[in-house]
Amino acid sequence: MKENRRDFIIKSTALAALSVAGLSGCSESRSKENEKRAGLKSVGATSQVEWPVTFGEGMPKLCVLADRDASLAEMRKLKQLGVDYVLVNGPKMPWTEKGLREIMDRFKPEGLTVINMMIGGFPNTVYGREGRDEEIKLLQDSIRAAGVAGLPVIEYNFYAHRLMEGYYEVKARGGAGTTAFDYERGKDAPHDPALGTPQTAESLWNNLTYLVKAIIPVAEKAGVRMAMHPNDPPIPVSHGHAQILATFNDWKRLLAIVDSPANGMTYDCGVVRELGEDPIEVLRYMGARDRINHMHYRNVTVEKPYVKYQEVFFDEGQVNLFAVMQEVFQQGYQFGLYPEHPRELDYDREHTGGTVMQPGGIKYPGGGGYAAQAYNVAYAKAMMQAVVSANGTGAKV
Amino acid sequence: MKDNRRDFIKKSASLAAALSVGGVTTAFSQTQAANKAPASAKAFARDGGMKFAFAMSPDSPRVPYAKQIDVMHAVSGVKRIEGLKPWDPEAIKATKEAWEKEGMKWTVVEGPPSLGEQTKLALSGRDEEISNFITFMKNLKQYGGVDVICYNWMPVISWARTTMDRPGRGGALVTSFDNEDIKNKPLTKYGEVSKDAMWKNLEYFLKAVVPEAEKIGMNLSLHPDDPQVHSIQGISRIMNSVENFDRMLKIMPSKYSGLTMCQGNFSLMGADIPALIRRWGKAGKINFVHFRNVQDLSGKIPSTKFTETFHDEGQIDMYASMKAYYDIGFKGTIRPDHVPTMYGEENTRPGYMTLGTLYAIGYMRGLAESIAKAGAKA
Repeated sequence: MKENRRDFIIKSTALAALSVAGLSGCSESRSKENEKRAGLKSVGATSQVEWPVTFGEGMPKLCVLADRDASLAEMRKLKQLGVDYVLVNGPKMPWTEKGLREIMDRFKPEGLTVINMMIGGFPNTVYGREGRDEEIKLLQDSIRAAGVAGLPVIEYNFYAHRLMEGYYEVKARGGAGTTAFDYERGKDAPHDPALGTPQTAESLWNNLTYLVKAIIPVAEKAGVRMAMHPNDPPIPVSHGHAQILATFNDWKRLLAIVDSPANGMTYDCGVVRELGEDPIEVLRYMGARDRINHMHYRNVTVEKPYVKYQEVFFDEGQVNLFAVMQEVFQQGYQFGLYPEHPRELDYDREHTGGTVMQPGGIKYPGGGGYAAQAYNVAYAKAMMQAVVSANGTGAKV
Repeated sequence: MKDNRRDFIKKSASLAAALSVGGVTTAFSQTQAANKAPASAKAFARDGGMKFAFAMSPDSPRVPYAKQIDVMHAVSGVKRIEGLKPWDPEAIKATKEAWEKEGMKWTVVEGPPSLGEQTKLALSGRDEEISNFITFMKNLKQYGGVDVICYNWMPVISWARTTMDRPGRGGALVTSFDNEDIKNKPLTKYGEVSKDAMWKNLEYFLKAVVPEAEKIGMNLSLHPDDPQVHSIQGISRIMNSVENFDRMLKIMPSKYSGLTMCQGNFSLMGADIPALIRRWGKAGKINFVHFRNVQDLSGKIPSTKFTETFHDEGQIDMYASMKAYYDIGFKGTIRPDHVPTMYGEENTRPGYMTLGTLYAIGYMRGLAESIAKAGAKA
């Protein structure tokens, strides 16, 4: 264990050096522009915006996860939460313009716009195996199709393996479920031969670099932004495989591979805190470089960064979600903001079909459903309206 | 630019540490120390210092939901116990104990017993009703520890809606009212009841009750008429304008004769809600809040029609309203009111179903936290 971690630290620390030069280019004008656009200044006690507050250009877009084949009833179920945007798991590659339009157009009549589709299914690329060029070709074609279809963001991730064994439920207030994580529970988990050769950080970085260099120019040309979700749980090793997107330095290194807003990330304020980093600092770093292409909004209480933490209710925990929301507007961030990981409430335990599945159909221990999601989305929306109102920026489109 | 330089310095520093002999672990622990979880914001008041509550009885299936989203105050009637009147000490004690068993605090009685048609319409038996009401107040304070009673001045026809299942956002069901639909309904058995009569009866009640409330410290909180039209089926409504509330407050001026700030109804009277909260709040008249929003008004004042909404989508400036409560230092009970019925719910109690209530609490808490944190920083 110790060795693994040290290994992990050595690499990430040393690599920070590489990112310094690569990123400074685009930031100055960007942050000034953002300040101008957001026009942020305090204007007294009463808000000067028209109610109900809506969110226009240059503002985050509150969204929730939908099934891409959602029925009309399911779409309305989400619409009731007060969102105008959804993210969906994309179809199997290769995506086609027609296929994407069919998905996106189905949501339109219900007042929902697909702002992000997740793409997956490129294991050979992750493992650097034979067949990766074919996968990358599929990815490139899919990104082009997204550009033509008008899908602004594609989210992806890069794990050789994800350590689900570390998650367990901790009962919190009133018996509600929270999702705790302890690396100790899974750090010695054996390697699974079915998943291929254990990946070192070095090999994964090589593979990731190969991928990013191949797809970002395509995305840039297609007018599509790529959002890399960080490794979560952000641990050094899972079943013998290194995790290379699990520190702030890792993220900086990813962003430096190709200097383009198309090469962005999912900013997850929960994961940031799991690393023991400051959510505002990381948000400013990425925002100033225009690299936040999707966002996850949630809270967490960390006992030991990278190792032991608990995903808690939005209204508790160590992330100042209001400060994050203020900064998000300050940055002029304008893509999806997804309040995620609802806690498990009795209402959802008692009502079938209540569970909100995460991408890939994962049900986290202590993770909840629609009732808890209603609470989270309303909380996030209130904060968005509060920021707009306090700033008096006039939110009408 | 500044950000970049700071980042650069930080990186160089950690790099330097990493490169020194045995520096790797050092770098790691330093990073950890530097990024320790911040102490909670200075003087930050959770929920803006207010008491968030559900309206429910202690045996409601919603009690566990309330505890799970950390809503620990209850707006509740007195437990019905065979052989006991609701103003009997034993009934009140049992209610208090039931809430304590749940770890929750009972703070408000809404729709009190022994305040009905006899008093509001001056029928025979009114003095007995008022006498029992006074007994209720005293026992509620003494044995229940509750010091807010929310009452209304709507005899016979109380809360009324003409539609209970109007499709709202995403097909959620909301209630609505349109006077057109009921204006031709027949008189009740009480015939025409004039505004003057309603005022006289209210005055009689306040003169009898307010001095007793003062003695024991019970906050009487008159709820506006809902709907706040001029009359329904011949029975006049008088608590349907801001001016009339000001008039009511002057009948027996007292710290203990106040009102329930039901945002929806006052908004339908044409009031600027945040301004009204500040005015009445500074005068110490707001004892209890119904946090609520409305839309689709008739254009007349008071509005002859309206539709309930989700809290985030109506005409009332909810941010400025919450900020007004915070600024006046309101520390009392506040509950969401009239929530839409959402996906998967049977519309068995329009306006009071669970999902919409959870949504409303999330919304209220998000607003209150934003305001309290912005305030704490300044």
